[in-house]
Amino acid sequence: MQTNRASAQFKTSRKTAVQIQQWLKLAPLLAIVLLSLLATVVFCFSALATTATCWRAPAEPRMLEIKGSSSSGPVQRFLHHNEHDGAGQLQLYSADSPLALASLYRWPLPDSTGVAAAFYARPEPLDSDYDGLIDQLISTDIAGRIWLTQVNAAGFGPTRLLADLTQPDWRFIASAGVIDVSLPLLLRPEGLAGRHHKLLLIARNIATGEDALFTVRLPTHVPVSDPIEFDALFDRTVLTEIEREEGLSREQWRNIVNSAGWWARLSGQVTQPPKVVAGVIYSAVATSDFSAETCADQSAEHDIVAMQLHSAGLVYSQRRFRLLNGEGQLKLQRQSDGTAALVLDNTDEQQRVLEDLQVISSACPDCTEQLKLDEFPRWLKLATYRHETGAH
Amino acid sequence: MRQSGMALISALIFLLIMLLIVSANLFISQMSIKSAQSAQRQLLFEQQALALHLNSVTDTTDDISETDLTVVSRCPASYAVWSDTLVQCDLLTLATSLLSDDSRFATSYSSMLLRQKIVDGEVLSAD
Repeated sequence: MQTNRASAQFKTSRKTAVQIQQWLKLAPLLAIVLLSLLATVVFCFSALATTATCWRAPAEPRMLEIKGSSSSGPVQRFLHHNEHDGAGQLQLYSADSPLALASLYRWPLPDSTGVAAAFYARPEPLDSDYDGLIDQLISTDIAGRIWLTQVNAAGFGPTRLLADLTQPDWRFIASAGVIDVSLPLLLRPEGLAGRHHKLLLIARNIATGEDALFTVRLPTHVPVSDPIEFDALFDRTVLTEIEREEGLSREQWRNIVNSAGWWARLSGQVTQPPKVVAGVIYSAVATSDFSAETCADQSAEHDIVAMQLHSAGLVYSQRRFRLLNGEGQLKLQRQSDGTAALVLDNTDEQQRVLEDLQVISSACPDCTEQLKLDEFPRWLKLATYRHETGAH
Repeated sequence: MRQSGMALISALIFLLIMLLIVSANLFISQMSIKSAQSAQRQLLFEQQALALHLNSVTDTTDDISETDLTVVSRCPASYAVWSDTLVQCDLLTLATSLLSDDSRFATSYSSMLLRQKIVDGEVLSAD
């Protein structure tokens, strides 16, 4: 009897030992899975940890008017960009429901499909067919990948990777808008489409905390071209002595306009969204008391940087102008003679930044004219046509 | 022989009378002049209608009520671009028609006009 019990115990302990051995065989596999999960989490957090919290503007849902079914007319949808497990995603809401109509969290990458980094820059809605309703979205993640997504009332359509500007040192933290550009025949290099969209982005250097302005010409042609890479952008940080004295040559202009875009370091942190006024980008930057960890909230020195939109060339005698302080919003001011000035407007006072603002002229690459604000409102006749009724 | 001569003369006289009647009618109605001038009159009328239309385009741009304008989401592409937040574009379709005095001709023209306006609050006055 005792022998039987002992043999049963022996059998049970042997079975347990076999089970433990089986688990031990699986242990390396389990360890690999756990470690890779841990690495993914650490990677996601490290990508975010390198950016200070003040780099990010609060993400408010944005109302879009989208084409509905033919009988109902346009419908309102709310676009929200947020994160899901550290990866950037877009969500579309209707006005009457707290549940998202659609979510987009798988994005085409250069080789495959995967997750995006966080979206610090606000997605830019586009009306590609000028019917007054939004039908496309341009989204840029913090790593510098730019996607074009079709959008309709029911959700998101196909997405295309337009650019991959990933660089170890730069984080794309804000978008300064999409603009529609039309180049006159005289200034258009051969083979370049006359009209295109240009995306303005602000990127921050994770080592120094310095900002750079990026303009990217969005590829519009079909079939789809390869995504634009960082190296395809023209570095316009430094202006050569010849360009300062003699202006931009035709050849330089052709090279810059023909490239996928340009970028320029701003030697400071952008303190408010840059403004494009008559073909000139004005950016207010804080040039002291900032680093990669701290934002330039209490900066003592401020500049205004003015650059030609298409070439980042000189519009005035210099690119940078010193400000007394950086408080207030950049606004235009109409002078008594109809010309325009740029001011920093705060509640107490107005600080004159630049007088006699210029508008870029299509006569030559760096030609300008005086900007006259009394021309506004300006009327343009797009077309005149005759109604034909019956045969003539 | 004499009978056939009489018939020939009668026919000739009849044709002569008919010719006189038709010529008199044509002369009185001035049909040939009218037909010759009609193309020219039509052209003049078209030109008059276009001039009227272009005048009204100029007048309209001076004084237009906001209700007639359609706001477009984006301004058309241009070289000296402005930010979307600074300039707003509105579209106006203006139609005029003209009816001739004798109500024989009618022509109408339409124009698409774009108004570019700086967004309120973005431009401060120097005073």
